[in-house]
Amino acid sequence: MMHRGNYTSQEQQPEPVPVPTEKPRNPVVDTIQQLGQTTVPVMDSNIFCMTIIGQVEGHLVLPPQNKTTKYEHLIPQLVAAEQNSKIEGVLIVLNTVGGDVEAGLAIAEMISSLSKPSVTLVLGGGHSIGVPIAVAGDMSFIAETATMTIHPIRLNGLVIGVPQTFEYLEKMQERVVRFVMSHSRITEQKFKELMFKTGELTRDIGATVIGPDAVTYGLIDAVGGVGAAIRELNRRIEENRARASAVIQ
Amino acid sequence: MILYTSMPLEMVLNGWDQEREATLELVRDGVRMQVQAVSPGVGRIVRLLDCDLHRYLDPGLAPGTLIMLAPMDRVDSSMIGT
Repeated sequence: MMHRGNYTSQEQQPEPVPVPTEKPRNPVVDTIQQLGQTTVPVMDSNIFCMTIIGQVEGHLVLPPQNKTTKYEHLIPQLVAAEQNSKIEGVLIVLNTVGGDVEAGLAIAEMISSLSKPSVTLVLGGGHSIGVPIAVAGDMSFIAETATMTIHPIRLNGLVIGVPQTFEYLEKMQERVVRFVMSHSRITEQKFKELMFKTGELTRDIGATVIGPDAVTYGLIDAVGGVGAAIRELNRRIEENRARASAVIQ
Repeated sequence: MILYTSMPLEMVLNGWDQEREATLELVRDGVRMQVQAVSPGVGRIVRLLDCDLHRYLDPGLAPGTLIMLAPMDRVDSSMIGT
């Protein structure tokens, strides 16, 4: 008898005819009827959840078989989240296979420079350029089964086989390595060891790090899912509020 | 432009040289956006070009969202800036 509460008033009446106005209203149907659109009224949440999936698309529009996350949309979203007073924390959920170096680093820098608490969560995978994004938040989580592939930046696109090209790639790689080092507990030595590991990936050098290993290496802060991530984010939001009110007093 | 991805590049870039569908630019509720027509009357948002900052947080305006196109939604320079 789960709906007992709904029926008690009707039991007392001689004719339990359901009154149409008392039907539970469907907000979607309501908005279609009243406004002619299907947009559901948004519940005000103090957390902004940003998902980064598929390829991080940057300067190059990728062919349509790729699922992409467009950085030109994420960057203003982060600016809006930072500026919007209703948003008190940002949760970044990652399941990405990598993508554009510049775009990925731009997103990672944006996340790391937010003044509001940010927590990242790697679900499924956070590969290649997903690694700096995964460590960019104040605290990072990885699901037990999630993986992160760390490998060198490969040659692609229009390149000329001259020593300068390799120096350039090395510099690009160094940007990623530095960012990851300065935003996580992993040492440069360990990160490069994983990056240049042989015999683990079939087509490349590098390593695949699974959930708990990422924490052991110091790349990610803790193993956990969405519950742990939200709990941590709420804790940080509370801390932030307490600090803000202490300043006012 | 360097792609740093764990996916094989030939898979990512497959169809790279194929012609893409043309996009159109339209203004809807003060949001100027680039839209790709998917079928008559329906378009898919490619990217937002110009709008208020908070509109970027609207999930209904995220790239990939389908929107209804009105007959006047063509590449129309007179609408730009309205």
